[in-house]
Amino acid sequence: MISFSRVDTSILGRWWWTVDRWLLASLLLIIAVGAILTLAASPPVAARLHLGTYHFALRQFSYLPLALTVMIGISLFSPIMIRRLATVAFIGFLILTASTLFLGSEIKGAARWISFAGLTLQPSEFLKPTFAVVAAWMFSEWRKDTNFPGHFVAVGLYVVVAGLLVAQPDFGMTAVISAVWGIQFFIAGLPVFFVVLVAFVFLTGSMVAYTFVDHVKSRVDRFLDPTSGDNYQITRSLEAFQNGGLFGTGPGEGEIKNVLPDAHTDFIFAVAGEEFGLIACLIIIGLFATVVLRGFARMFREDNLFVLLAVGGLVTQFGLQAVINMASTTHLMPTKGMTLPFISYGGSSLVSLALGMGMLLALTRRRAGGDL
Amino acid sequence: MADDALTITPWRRKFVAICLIALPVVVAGRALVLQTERSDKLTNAGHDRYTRQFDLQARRGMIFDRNNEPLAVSARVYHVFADPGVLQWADEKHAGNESENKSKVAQILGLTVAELDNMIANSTSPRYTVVARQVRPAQWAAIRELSRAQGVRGFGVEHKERRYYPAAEVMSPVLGFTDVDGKGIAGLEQTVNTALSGQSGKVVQIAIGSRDTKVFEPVHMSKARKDGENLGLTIDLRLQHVAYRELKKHALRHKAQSASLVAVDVSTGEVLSMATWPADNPNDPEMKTKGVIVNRPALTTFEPGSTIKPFTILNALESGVYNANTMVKTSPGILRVDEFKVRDTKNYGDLTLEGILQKSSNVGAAKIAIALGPEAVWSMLDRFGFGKSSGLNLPFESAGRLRDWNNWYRADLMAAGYGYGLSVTLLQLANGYAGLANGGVSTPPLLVKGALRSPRRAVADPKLSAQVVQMMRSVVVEGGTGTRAAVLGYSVAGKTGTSLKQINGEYRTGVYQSLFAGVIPATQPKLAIAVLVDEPASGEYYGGLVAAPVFSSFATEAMRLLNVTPDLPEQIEQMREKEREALEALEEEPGNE
Repeated sequence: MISFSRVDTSILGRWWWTVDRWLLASLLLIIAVGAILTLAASPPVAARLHLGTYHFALRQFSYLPLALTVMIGISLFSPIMIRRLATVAFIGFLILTASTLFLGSEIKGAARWISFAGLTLQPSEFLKPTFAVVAAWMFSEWRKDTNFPGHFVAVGLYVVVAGLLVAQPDFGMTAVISAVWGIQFFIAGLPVFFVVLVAFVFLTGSMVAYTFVDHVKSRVDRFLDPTSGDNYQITRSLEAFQNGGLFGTGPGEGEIKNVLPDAHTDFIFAVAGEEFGLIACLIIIGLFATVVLRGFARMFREDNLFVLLAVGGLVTQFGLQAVINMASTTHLMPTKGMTLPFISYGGSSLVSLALGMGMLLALTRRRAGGDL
Repeated sequence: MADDALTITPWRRKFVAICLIALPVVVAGRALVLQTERSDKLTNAGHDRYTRQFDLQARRGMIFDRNNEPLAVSARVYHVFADPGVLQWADEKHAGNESENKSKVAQILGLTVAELDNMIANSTSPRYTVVARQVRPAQWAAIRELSRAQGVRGFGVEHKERRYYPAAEVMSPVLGFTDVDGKGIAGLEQTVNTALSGQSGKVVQIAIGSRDTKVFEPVHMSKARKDGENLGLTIDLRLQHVAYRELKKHALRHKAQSASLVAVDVSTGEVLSMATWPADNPNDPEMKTKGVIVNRPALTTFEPGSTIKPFTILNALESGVYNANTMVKTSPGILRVDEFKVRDTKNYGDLTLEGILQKSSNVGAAKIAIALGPEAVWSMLDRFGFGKSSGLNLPFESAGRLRDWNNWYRADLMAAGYGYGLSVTLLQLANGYAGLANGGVSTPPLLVKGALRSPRRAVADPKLSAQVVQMMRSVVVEGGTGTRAAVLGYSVAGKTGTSLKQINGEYRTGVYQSLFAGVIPATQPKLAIAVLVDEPASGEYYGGLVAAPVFSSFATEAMRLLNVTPDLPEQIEQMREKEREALEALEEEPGNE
């Protein structure tokens, strides 16, 4: 371990003494768990696609140094720098996201990806954390009683972002961004009347979607009544958990990765459950919960409204995404194509999460009260 | 700026925090339940959408006779199923042809439209219902053609096999048959089902891609099929055909219930023929529900009667008490033992052992049995395989019955001497004669080439056995009971038998079983043959009259087919001489131009 003297006032020295080390350790452990599970889950998927055994694992590992550099590098920033970075990045990725509508590559029926220099990038992944920070800034400006109409700006930005995502179409991403934005607005003090209104609109919207959108109806029906149709993935996933039991079948001994196309992405938690057992599942859940807990603990001690809201947004996004993935995999809710942060395969997702968690680490560093 | 966080109320933060922490707790609880509970209710629902599995049915092995003539072969057929989920009678281009196409499909499958509709409507599975079984390739090709031309969709096939038996009823009692799923359920098909079946394989495929771009890729759970083994039998189909023909002819002539024949190669124990009439044709689909296929030679038991006497005589010689010249007093042709009476057809006076065989004297055989004692009589029969399973393991094969000598009364001992009180199968009888003719070496019978069997055993003195065989020649010559078993050019040693048939444990007056068992050529035995004609009702019932001619006809052809050199060529010469003289005599007669 590198050691830093408390009187060390270099950038790294100050970082080491101010960063939330519980948070940092949890994130690093989650990344390590992800590397192990990618090694376990991806070879059969690669074999099915006639790729090399470690095709996915090697690609994922090649992104790890970049992700770690981004996360640690950004965590060195001050909150004011974070705000600037997020704003610039948000605008840049918003433009890129908009451009996917015209020049994106289509994968699995949705145009979300942009290719350049041999790399494919999903710009909307990077919108998630940067938008959370920008929205936090706007809400905090609104509350600070200046004449700046931050909440209207936030609503306007939200409409643009959500519109772009729906156009792709990417309903999963839209749902996460909406939830995060809504929770930030709620924490910032959305009048109760509007909270009730939003809840009402949400419920009505759900009913309308269920009634008129066929695939929504079929997903909900299949969730409520597993015998009503195609539940192959979820059934296999549940079998995997049962098969795993307390201690798991052992690394490489699981079956689910052989039979599910998405074993290395959406259903990686089931691979963990099967091969490493209940104890590993509880450890993974515990790690995600630690990140959320540390984030909220910070929110109750935070004086700065922007930081408070930004931390709330980033933590909510991270926690919500993890919970949705794990809840889908364990059949607690209808399946939704959501990745498990830092664990599911995917380069864009990994780097964008590193960006988000880097910002979270930066914002949760101890500062003199109220400083930015 | 420092205290701007105070501008918002903390309860909102608390609310969100509690929700976000509760969620992982719920997930953890769910994982705990899932991974500690064992339940079957979650299995297999809806797999077919994402995976599909094809069984690769192993090809059932073929069965051949000893000369590689096919006896049982499998042809590819299809079970056609409908998938009501995607059923379509015509594509958009041919809309309007639906009912016409439906009636075409029904016609191809040999169904009425109503039957087809019914089967689809009453499908127990939403995706699968078999509408026709054992459909020939040409029929399936016709449906495929309709699907190409008219867009008929929703039919699929499972690859199956249909079993054909080229020798039909001639071989069916031995071979048995298979059920619709190709599993042997009778005869050899059942006995060696495992070897014939092989092991089926499967291809498991998994869907990759979204609904529209779905492609299927095989995964590692697939398994290659292993075809069944081919089997070669020791049966000679040519002899089998002759046997069946002669059995049928003589059984019909004598209005018999059934007739059976077993021919065993004396030196190897190979069963060259095992035939029985009547039998049904296993290629007839109705046969499986209504038909009769009983492998009587191995299943039906009967009292061997006089055909057992050669073993009694061998026993007498082995004991040292009797020799070829010993005279046994049989007058007055009746013997009383306890309340039991043994009769001969007439009073033969004093008989040599050969005389006892030739005249088939019950009194003589009974006296010898009593003189030898139960243990010796039992032991001789036991050593030649009576009362014991043949080792062929045919389904329902009988071992016959030879009770332990400790429980014999004197009457049982005496009856055993002339073949009553025990029951045997025709296979055992032929095999016993083969052992006798093979110098007293008992060889377990063999039906499937290369099958394992217990070792052959020397069970009697070779010289004495040969002596008994020579004595048995007297049966077939002038003065014997079995002259009709004679075969031109070959010496025959045999024994007739006529037993009262037991039905439900009681002898019925006038119900007989006519027997003949013998070996040919007697000088250098090749075949041991046993014939049973059951319940002849033509008025003739003596084995020498009913069964011996079957032996003669069969053996005559068998010797020719097996290229056995005649050991009595002078008989043939004499016959030719006679024919020539007769012909000359006829031609000298005037008016015969």
